[in-house]
Amino acid sequence: MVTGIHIPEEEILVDILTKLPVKSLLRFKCVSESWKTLISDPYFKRKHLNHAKNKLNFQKFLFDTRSPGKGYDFYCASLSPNGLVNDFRRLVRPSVSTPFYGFKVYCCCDALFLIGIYTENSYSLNEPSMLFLWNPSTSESMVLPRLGSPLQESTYGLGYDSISDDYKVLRIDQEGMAPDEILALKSGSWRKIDHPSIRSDGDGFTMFGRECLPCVHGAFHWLGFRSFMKESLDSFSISDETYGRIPLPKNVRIDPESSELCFMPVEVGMSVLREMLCLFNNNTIIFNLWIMKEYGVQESWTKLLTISSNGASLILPKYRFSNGKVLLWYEVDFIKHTIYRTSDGLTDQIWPFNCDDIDPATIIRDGFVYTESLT
Amino acid sequence: MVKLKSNDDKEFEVEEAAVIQSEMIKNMIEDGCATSVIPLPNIDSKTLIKVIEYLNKHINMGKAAETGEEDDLKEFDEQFVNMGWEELFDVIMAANYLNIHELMELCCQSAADRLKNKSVRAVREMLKITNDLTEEEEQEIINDAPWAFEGPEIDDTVN
Repeated sequence: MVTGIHIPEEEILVDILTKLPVKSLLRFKCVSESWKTLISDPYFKRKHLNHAKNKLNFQKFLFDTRSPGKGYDFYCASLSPNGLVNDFRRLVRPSVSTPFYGFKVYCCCDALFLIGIYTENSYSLNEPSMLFLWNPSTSESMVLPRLGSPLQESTYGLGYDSISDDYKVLRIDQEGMAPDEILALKSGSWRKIDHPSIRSDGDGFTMFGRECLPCVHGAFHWLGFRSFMKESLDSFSISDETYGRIPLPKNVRIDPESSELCFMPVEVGMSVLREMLCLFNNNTIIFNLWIMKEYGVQESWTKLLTISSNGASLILPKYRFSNGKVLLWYEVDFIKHTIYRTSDGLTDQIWPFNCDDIDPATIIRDGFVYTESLT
Repeated sequence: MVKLKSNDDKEFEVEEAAVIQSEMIKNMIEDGCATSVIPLPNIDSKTLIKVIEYLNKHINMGKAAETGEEDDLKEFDEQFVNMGWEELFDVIMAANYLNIHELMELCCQSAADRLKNKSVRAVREMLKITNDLTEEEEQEIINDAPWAFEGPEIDDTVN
């Protein structure tokens, strides 16, 4: 039995509470009126997120499953360099009022996921009829305003703008024909971005690579592909809303056409690992991963991995552990199976995904690593 | 050497290299205000001994990484926070007053670890908090995230 302690300063209480997991905080809202107010305060939420960001025990692995007859589900679990931890929790599905037949998880930023929903009203299979943000840690969700021009094939990115203390969603037309649009959550509406010089200089612009726009260092990024096989790494600053360009690694061909492996299907993409921009490509034989150690500095591009693809048609980097091991997702066969492996370039091993509790008939799809947080 | 005096009038000598981990004392030394004994009216001798023990062990923090003593330091930290609830808060209050960032982090983490799996009732008791929420308000919070109130790890004991 301990004697109760009275904490005289709120600052100290905040220091302690920022170190608690989300589950404890949601429960402790019931402690008192002042705890409820404190835990719901945006300043506290941001402080908690900043604490949680780079700590492994606050990182969770989210994956969605499809099972015959039961539809879809989302699960989350903790992760370690040695495998997925067996602490699965089935998440409360985001509450969406409209019936839908499909969804797509675009990306996540901090604790938030950007998800697109396909309903009977969808114009095409490529464009969702509705977008929403979802925080799986708190099960809060928010439907985003309707897009102005839903006919183009778009790519989306989600990022946090520290200047305006707001999350922003960027929509980019993959063909480079329509103006890009941005949504600041606080503003509540999409805004067209003036046609920038960077996108009008080339004759014919297409985007290639995977479908989301990684946000790091205050900017969204994507690979552009112009005529005459010219490739570029373009960026869009989340605060200034200006376009820019980041140098690609020297003497490296990224795009499929000009690769010496041009007769094989090649996947190219970008992502963020430990707050560093990374670039990867693969065919069924080899997978390459580069990271940019110092943002914007061409010489700092470093080849992190060159490993066998093990026959996979698609490989995506998911997370980089503090011991340097990179968690990779291998899509071996579109429907059948997904495999996770970790690699540091020297050793390469299976990352055990023990999910005995989940119905074996279930199809496990792609997974994401996110930070468990309130905001 | 720097002399510190607790609120029960006991004096302790500490090496300057150790004591400057306290931002407060570091500033006093830089401003030339630490020529004689520094009185610490908020800290009793029992707590001050603990704090000095920590400061002396962490004196060569930077060197630890080079000499491979990180594990040793980690073990010390684990042992160090193995203290009673009241005692832990005495150290937290002292670390906050003296502005010793690393010690504050260590002790607040220990407090968080002890609270993490507690029930709402247990937290109220451990931190002397009177519930001022109505039953309806409480129920509303529970309904928002019922899963946060369920699970085998939730511990209703106060220890």
